[in-house]
Amino acid sequence: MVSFIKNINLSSVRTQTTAILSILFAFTTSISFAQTEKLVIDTTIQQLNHITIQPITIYGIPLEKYGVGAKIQTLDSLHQSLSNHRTLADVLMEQSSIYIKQYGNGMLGSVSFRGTGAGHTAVLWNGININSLTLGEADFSNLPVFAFDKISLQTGSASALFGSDAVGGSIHLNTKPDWEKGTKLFLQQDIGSFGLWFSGIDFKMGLKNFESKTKLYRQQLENNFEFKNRAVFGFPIEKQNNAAIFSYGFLQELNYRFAKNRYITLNAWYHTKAIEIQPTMGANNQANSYTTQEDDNIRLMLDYFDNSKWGFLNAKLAFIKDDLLYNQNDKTATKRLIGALQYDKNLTNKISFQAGFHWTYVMTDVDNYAKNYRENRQDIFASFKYNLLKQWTLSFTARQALITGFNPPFSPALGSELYIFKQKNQQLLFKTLLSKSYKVPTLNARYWNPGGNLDIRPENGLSAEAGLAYQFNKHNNQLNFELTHYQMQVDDWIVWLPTGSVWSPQNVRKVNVKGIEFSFKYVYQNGHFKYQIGGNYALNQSKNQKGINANDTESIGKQLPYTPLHRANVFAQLQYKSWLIAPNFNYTSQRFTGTDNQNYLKGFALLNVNFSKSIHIYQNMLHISLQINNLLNKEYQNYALRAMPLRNYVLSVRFEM
Amino acid sequence: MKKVNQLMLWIVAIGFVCQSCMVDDAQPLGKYENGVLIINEGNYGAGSGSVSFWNTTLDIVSNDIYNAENGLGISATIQNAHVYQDRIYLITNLPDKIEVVNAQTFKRITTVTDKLSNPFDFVAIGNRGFFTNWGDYDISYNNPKGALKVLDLTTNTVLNDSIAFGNRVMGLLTYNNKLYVANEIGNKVAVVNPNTLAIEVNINVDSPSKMVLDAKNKIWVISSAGKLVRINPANNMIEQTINNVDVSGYNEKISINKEKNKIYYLSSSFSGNSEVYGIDISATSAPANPLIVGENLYGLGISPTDNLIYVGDSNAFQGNGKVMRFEANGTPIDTINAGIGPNNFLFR
Repeated sequence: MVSFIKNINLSSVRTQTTAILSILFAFTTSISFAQTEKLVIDTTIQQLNHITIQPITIYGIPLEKYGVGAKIQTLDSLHQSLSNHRTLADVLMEQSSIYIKQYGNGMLGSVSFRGTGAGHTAVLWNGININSLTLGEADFSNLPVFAFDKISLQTGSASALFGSDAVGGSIHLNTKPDWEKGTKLFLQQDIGSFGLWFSGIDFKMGLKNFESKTKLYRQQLENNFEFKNRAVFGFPIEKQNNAAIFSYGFLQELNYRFAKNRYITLNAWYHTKAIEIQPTMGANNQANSYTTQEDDNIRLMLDYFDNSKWGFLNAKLAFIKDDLLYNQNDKTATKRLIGALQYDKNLTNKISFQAGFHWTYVMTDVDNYAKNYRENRQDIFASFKYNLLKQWTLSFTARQALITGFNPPFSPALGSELYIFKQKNQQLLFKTLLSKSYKVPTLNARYWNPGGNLDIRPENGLSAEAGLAYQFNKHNNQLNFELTHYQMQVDDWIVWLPTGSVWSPQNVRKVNVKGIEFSFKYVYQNGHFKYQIGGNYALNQSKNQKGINANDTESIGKQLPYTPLHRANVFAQLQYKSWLIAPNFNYTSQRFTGTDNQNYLKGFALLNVNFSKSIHIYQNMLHISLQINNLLNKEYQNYALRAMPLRNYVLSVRFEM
Repeated sequence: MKKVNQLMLWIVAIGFVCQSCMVDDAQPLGKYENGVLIINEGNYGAGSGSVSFWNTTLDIVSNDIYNAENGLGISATIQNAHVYQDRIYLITNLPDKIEVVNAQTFKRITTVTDKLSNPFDFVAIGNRGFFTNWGDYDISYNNPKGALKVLDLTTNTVLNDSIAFGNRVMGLLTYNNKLYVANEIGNKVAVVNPNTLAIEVNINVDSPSKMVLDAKNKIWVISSAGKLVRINPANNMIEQTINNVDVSGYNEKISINKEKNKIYYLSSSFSGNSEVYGIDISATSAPANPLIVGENLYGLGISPTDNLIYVGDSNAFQGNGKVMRFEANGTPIDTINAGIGPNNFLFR
């Protein structure tokens, strides 16, 4: 049976050439928790090793291999395809327990993963950190869902594996080859409230050993929604001014396969976004305060994979250019050249080993720096994974980075996974992970003129977590849940503080984070009927331990600003034949706006629903869907005094041939 | 049972009614007198400015009183506030507003938004208010269209008449029916006739920021270039220049005591420390030692009744700030929690 998901999901991979891949991707399309995927890969590789001596084609080292003890979640591919016109900021609020602080509708989206700050999440594009070097974070409203084939989240500290920024978690945005012969064309056109237009084209062409994938997208949003102006006496209904968004992008992927176990990929991604920066409610009608921002990002990568009996080798060469122009005047431009080598080998059937080296050369061209800076960053890391017992796996990874001018801390991680029971239909896994993490101070923190602090130290974290992952799989039922408790301490946390009339970053805060994460997913399939229901919940108690000075007593023991204590969502997909209804309910609890916890924004709950119908037209597929956002018409503020839209609609037509 | 419930309902209802009568009774006129109004600037651009009231007789602090009285926040950055007759004028930017409130009850009278662009300071003479208006920022973050503008206090509308100044027109002072305007980048203090809106004299002063009037009716100007300059308004001549004054170099804070014979000013240096200094009006050189040393000292006021020094601690704008009181000699008395960035005090 060809499932609805497979049809609708252009970005997921279709029929595969090897046994592993078909199993692997069957799972990715039906189960979004990568934990399951991992078990499948491991067992399949083991099985195949016994059966065949042929080398196996794999796309890279799966995240899970050395991420022993970590929780890894892959976003649901159906939800992803229904969200093509949206950005990661929207999708993460709906499908994960991560909080995105958004400065208005479609505006700058800063992440808070596990109660940490915006710069404490590593965002990796095909394995390379793409966080802005100047700001140290990614704008999640500037990462279009359409650009990625697979989106995965790894909860918790993972600096040993992924380097700087992976303090609260890491986000993996990947593209990948399909190795399919023939051509495929996908066209999408969306129209929605407040002048939304989204167009997407995805063209794939495959020969035996060569493949070309091209994506083009364009999004336009007038963003002139109506809101109740809470900053003006009498709360008049006004139309949002100065919040328009225009973005487009182009992706080209070329894959060439020398042999079944050796291939090379060239990835080119250009993305641009021009926005009017949504003003505070009070300044909605004040044209003299309106500001704009333009972002241009070029990301190029040459990726070589070789998997033989000698081991698995991956070599990357990448170039990333980020240009930001604020108010058509202030330029912030950086370029980086990245070289990476990673080698992985299964030494015995119990022990595997990987080692890698990353080199980054950074070049700045920032108006607010005294000069253009150049710096070298190197990272070396190595991992061992040991299957101590049939039921028990341990993994140890360590990393050391070297950067011009200062050295980030040595970062080890020790993970363990123990099956409490493992039966035919169900299994329960006990995971633990102990890790150190760090964040290299941003270039702005060091070089901003005036105020940059050359003596600034890297932020560093120590984290411990333990969790249970349960899986049940019988007949047409699949159930997963995972419960994790973690504790983390982040020290030398950087805060920009005023010194005289100049703001300067200082290593001041010490933060203790404690929390619980829970997620579940249940999938049922019977004939024409299929449904799944899932959810995530996170409790993040993120408490400041240190005042900025002796007089700052009120912030001690208080929750960090814009760090909700509770985040939760529940989502369902109900499919009958070619019909789909997919509701999503997500909740964010109150957020304090200052360190003393005196003022806060009320929590908000949003209900979004998608209705879809797929139609066969000869060999082609047509999908029509209606997305209703904020169905309950709730007035809310994500960031103080930035208006957000009430109920709104998107009509989407997608055509596959 | 049903009757009991109904009875309970009535009791609760009556309780509510009585409670509201009592609350009303407890709010006589002059609710915001016998104390100090603390002007909390708010985070830049975030619309989080607020006003706190510290009833110093009863030692009760009420934060965000504008919100409490009017049901919404000021939702702007407050630059300055000025009491005139029975009204208080709150000067804000992002968004640009002049909030006019009743000085006793803090109930909103009106909000002026027309013809404003980054207003900064405000004074009033007769039925006219005068305010410095920085004007729009250009792409280099300068404000080349600075002006002195006029607010008709009867109609609460901004008049078309104005005097063009250049970049960064700062503090205002009135004395003897004259307006003194600190033109910081222009290095001048302009003496303006409030009736004709004509500049009568320009006094050359290096980077003037703010002014106070002393007991001998002399005008003291604090300069962001690190000077205190004494002007004799009788002849508009500079009588005294005190050099080596430790200042922030931006938006200086200056205040004068009850007897108007001692000036206090606040500096915050790049090292992270900030200091409050006191200087006698007969002094000829800058004080060597500060009276108060702290971090993030931001606002300054001297109580005109008891000469206590009120200092706002901005807490680096990370959350709400504090207000600390000191004896005139710098001995600490007490501390209260205020709003974000306490920058100014209105003693009532």
